[in-house]
Amino acid sequence: MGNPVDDKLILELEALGKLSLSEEERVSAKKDFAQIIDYMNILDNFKEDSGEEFTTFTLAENLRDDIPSDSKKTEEYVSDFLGKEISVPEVIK
Amino acid sequence: MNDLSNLSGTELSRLILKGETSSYELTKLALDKIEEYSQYNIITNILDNSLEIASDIDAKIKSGDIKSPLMGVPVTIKDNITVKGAVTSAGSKILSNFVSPYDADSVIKIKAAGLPVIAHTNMDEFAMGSSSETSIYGPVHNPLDFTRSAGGSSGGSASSVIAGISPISLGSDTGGSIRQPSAFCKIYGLKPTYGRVSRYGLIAYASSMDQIGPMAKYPEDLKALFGIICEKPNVNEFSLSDRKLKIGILNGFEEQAKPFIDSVKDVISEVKVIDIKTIGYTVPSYYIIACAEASSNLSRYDGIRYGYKSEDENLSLEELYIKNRTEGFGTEVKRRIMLGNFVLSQGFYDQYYLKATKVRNAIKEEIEKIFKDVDIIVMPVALEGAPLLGSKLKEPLKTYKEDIYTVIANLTCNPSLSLPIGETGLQIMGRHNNDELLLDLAIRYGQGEGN
Repeated sequence: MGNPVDDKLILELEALGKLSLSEEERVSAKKDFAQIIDYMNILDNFKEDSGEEFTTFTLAENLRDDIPSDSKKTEEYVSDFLGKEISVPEVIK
Repeated sequence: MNDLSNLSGTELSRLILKGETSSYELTKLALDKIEEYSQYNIITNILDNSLEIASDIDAKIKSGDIKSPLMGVPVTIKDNITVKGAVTSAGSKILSNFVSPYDADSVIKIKAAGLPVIAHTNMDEFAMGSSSETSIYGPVHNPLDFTRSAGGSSGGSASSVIAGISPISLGSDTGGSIRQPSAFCKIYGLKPTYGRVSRYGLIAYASSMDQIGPMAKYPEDLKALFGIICEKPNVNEFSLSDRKLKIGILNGFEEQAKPFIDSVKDVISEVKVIDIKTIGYTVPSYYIIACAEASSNLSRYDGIRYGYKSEDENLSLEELYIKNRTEGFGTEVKRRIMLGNFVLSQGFYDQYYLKATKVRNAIKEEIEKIFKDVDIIVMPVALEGAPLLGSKLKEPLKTYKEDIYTVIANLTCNPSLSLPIGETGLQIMGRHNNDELLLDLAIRYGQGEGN
């Protein structure tokens, strides 16, 4: 598999991640990504998988019983807030 | 009296019960040690009222209200595990002002067991790293050698233990973040079976692999702390009294495993050399899956409802998101978010993410097959010993590749325990839910030539 890393891809990944890199960071990211994605391409050599995807649910036989208990009441959660941690600033004026 | 910082947590708790020391005195000593080691960047924040809490615990002990074998012993908590009323930042600028309104499940259990929580420990930002250098609070220096890394990402927790701040600490392990710093700081660390310890209150990095676990200077403390924070399994585990064990040592590491094998030979029936054929695929699979999950988990941080917010007020909502995230995240976190978006994006999803989940399944099947033949797999924790600070940040791919032995247990969800053997540490991996068996083996090692 070829290596798809170019300037356009880096800009697209920045947009997807809601990030904005400096020019210097972009140059560095392009170099690092090319190396890392080349390395990830090792997986192309792996031909022996059964086609099944991994899921943690295969561990379900070992899990404890899921016993519901009384949940915390809303008032108790509200009292946990000290009044300053969460605020919703005005962002659209 | 002995230097209290050299005693195990269970021994200290016994001394408290006998009235020879107190939780207050131990907490005061811990706070003094934090001051003494302030240049090591071990602690991110000291929790309010820990001395008052310790006094309350002393009062309970005097009234005979004994909750656990570690009652009264101060404990430190990694900075990505929430503690109610305390800044919980995960070592990141974007959460540097986040005061958690709730305790993590494991913290609730620790408090209920009568342990004063004294401080949050430094770590790689969002647990993304293996040298504890990417934190907003600066790099953690190894108390055994100031010029070297304490490992990561739970480097602050490991350092708090070996520096004598607290005999026990909580860390988290997504790709080796408990075991590798434990090895570099020469303590014990357990990555429990996935699901044995609640992740509620753990700031998420890669949810299918994240796991909270105990770290301790003495294996008895490791077992006692795990007993406090763990959920009980629904299956019967077997113990050392049931039968002797078959041990599988990864090919090439027989000599390194010798101190461990010699110290537990009484409970071994057979030692084999094993190969893990899929080992060359573990690191790429791990980083594809971890980055994919990280890009999703970290998309919640936008600085609007909580967390770091840029002071620039003349921005649209979209521009504000970008500004907050760009200023709030460090280089390594940005790299992993972008890599995660790459492997999940249209055109690359099947080739990278889907393929990695299939390879992960194949790795799990191979490990299950090996566990049909042996009870324990023995292998090193790291490729080499604690590196010099600053040597890890320039070559990310080289650093990723060094996780080759630790990521296996995270990909397969098995428990794995790091023993302080040699410069690289030695880990023992068990079947799912055999955590207690690993802990008992560690205690046997500690009673033998380990200590």
